[in-house]
Amino acid sequence: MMSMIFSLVIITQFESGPTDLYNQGNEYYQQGRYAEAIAAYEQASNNVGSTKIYYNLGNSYFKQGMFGKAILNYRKANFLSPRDKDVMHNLDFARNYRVDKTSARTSPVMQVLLNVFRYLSFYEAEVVTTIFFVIAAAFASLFIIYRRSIYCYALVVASVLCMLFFISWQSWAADTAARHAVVTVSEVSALSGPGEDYKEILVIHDGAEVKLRETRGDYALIQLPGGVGGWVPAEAIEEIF
Amino acid sequence: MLIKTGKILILLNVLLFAGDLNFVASVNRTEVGLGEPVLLTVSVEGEDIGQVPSPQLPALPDFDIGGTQSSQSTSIQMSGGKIVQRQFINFIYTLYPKEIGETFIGACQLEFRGETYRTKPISIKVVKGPAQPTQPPAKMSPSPGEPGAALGGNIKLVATANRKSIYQGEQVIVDYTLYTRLRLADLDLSEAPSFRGFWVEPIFDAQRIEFQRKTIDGKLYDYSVLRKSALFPMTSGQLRITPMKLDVAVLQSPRDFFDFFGTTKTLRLESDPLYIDVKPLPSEGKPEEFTGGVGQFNIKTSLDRTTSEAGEPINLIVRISGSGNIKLLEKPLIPSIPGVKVLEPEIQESTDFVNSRIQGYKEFRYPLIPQTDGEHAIPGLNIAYFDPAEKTYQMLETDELRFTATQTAAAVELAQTGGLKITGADIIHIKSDADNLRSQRQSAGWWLALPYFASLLGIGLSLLYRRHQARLLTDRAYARKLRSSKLVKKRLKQAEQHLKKNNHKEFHAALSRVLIGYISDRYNLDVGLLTNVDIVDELAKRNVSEEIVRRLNDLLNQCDMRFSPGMKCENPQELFDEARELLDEL
Repeated sequence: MMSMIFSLVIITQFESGPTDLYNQGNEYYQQGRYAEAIAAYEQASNNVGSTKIYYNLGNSYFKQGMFGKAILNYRKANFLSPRDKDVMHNLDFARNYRVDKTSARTSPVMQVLLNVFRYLSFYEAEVVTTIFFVIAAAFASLFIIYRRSIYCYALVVASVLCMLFFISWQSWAADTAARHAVVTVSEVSALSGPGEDYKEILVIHDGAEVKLRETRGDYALIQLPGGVGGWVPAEAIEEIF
Repeated sequence: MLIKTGKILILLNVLLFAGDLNFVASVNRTEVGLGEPVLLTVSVEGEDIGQVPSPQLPALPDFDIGGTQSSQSTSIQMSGGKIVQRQFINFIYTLYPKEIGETFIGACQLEFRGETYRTKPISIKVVKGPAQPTQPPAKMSPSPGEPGAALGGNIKLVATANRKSIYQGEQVIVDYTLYTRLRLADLDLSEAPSFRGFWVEPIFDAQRIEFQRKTIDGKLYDYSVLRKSALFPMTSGQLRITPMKLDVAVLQSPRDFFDFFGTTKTLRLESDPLYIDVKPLPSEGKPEEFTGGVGQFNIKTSLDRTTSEAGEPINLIVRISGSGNIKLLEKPLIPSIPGVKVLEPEIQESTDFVNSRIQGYKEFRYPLIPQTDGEHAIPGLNIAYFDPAEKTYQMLETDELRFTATQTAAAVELAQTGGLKITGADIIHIKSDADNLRSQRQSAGWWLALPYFASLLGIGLSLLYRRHQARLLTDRAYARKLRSSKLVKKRLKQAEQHLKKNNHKEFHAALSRVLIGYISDRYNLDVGLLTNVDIVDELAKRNVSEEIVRRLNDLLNQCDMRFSPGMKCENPQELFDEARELLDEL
């Protein structure tokens, strides 16, 4: 009986709808009630993973001075909509407020390549790659049957396009496989092993973007862009993807 | 010859003093191995001697001159309202002895402003091979019976602290003074005192020993301050300053007539350790605004500009000046200012030792980045320090400052400030439209595999089709086989039509044609030559099961009955079904 009532409560909460929660969050944000806006957006994002919700959530956390959470949500939004300029701007902006400025910068060449290959989102890249694969396969079939050189040329063009989008797709896939995470507590000590008795190696602050190498018990092994890393309590970080 | 073995002469003090000019010659060693260099230093010291000529070296028949260097230094002092500029010029000659034996460096000569100055000759002993160390090993205390025993009360190193009990962070000055009634040839610091637990501001560290005179207990001493430091304790409790240790070479009086220059004796001097009692700062009444200052301070705040355009940073300058532990002051906390971002300060500091106190200032420059247009007010700062004289905490206050910011929104272009990239005045506002608010796909999921399978299947099928086409052209049997299935369908249909119209004769003929045509195509036999018996034989040869062959034979025989007049088939429908079944099984 209890569990039924409980589940009913949860259902009614869900039934207030992500759109309502989103609008409610926007209203709170306009009034400067950021903590309440965060609560509304967080609940909305539990149901609906949308750029707009993550972006607004990032803004609310930023206004609350929680830069790690802001960066986390901007990165989620960026993953879904890599061409959204607002998201990029606010992500860059929030990064400037971090305590740790040591994050290694990507080289300019790499940056250009990333801009090209991150034009499409992970999902878009997947779909477009698949479409070009199907087209290439169709031309291959036509060529096999009719032996016309025009189909061969079309096959080459479609294959090259397919390869390009495949790289874009794989660049995202590498990112998700790398398990990026963001430090969301104001300060955390990275230790040499998974337990509080180990030696402190370095101190990492809110908003540091790290790679999650491994989790063991309540501890996670993280690595900073420079290569240094250590074990931190698992609740100090949040994974992006 | 008067000059006996001049054993030691490291540094000869004033040899010749005339007017206001000192002219001294010295060597770095008096016993030298053949082939080793001796450095002869000829020093000239005096007021306004910039134009002094190089001294004339005596004839040095026993030496080769290896090289010459000169160095010059100037000190400017105020003395009785007059500026006195003293200069020191050193001429350094590298000499290489030519022969083993005893020799000497004659008097150097200098003519300046019409007067002639001369140094005293220095004797040098040249030995074979590298010279032995000229100084005996240092002894902790002179052994009795030797002339050095009398030195005990005649030379001492004294450490003094101007205060013994202070507050944490308060200044204490520690001096190390050498008192002597003896003539000293050299001194060498063997162990510096350790100021553990203190912040140290060196005030004076003697480069040259200059003695002054003082009477203590009726005895006249030469004394010189070797080192003077201002110390600021950083912890409380009793702090110990370890002794300074000094090796001095004492010139001893000549024991006989021939011991012209005398000998030296090296003594190890050690000061007493110092103990300083450091009281902790009272925790009672300690204000939150306390930034670690102990002493007497003033504060001044200012802005380097009062207007900011397009998000340019304005510097808030907080200058704390006074006397005390200036360098230990922490940065004051700037309260958050709405619409203004405060960056980390740039810190400058400068201290001086004036009237036996460390004085100076520490300046914090906070870059302020306005983020909204309009007039911004920087609230007054409150900073507390501890005044050890009054034994209380004192509060400093500053006035509110104002500045005006315009066009902050235009600051979206990147600005470089203090190593920080400012990308804009603020984050871009939230997205407010709820259109299309739905879960965006992160990834396509498993169904994405389907198009790939379909595509590969398509390629596979087209390959099969291609092969089929090729066989149609080259393989006659294959082509016939394929064609037969079409013909079979067509003929079966004809037979069915005849059945419906009850045209028994035509029906049987069509059925027979279907079967024979199919068999001839399927097994690549020639239709024209086939009789029922032939067919059965051929099929039996091709491993068709006996039962099917028997059924086929019956069926064909029944069809052939159309040729016998008057014979009627009882059940033509059954015959048709049997034919279809057989075709499927073949």
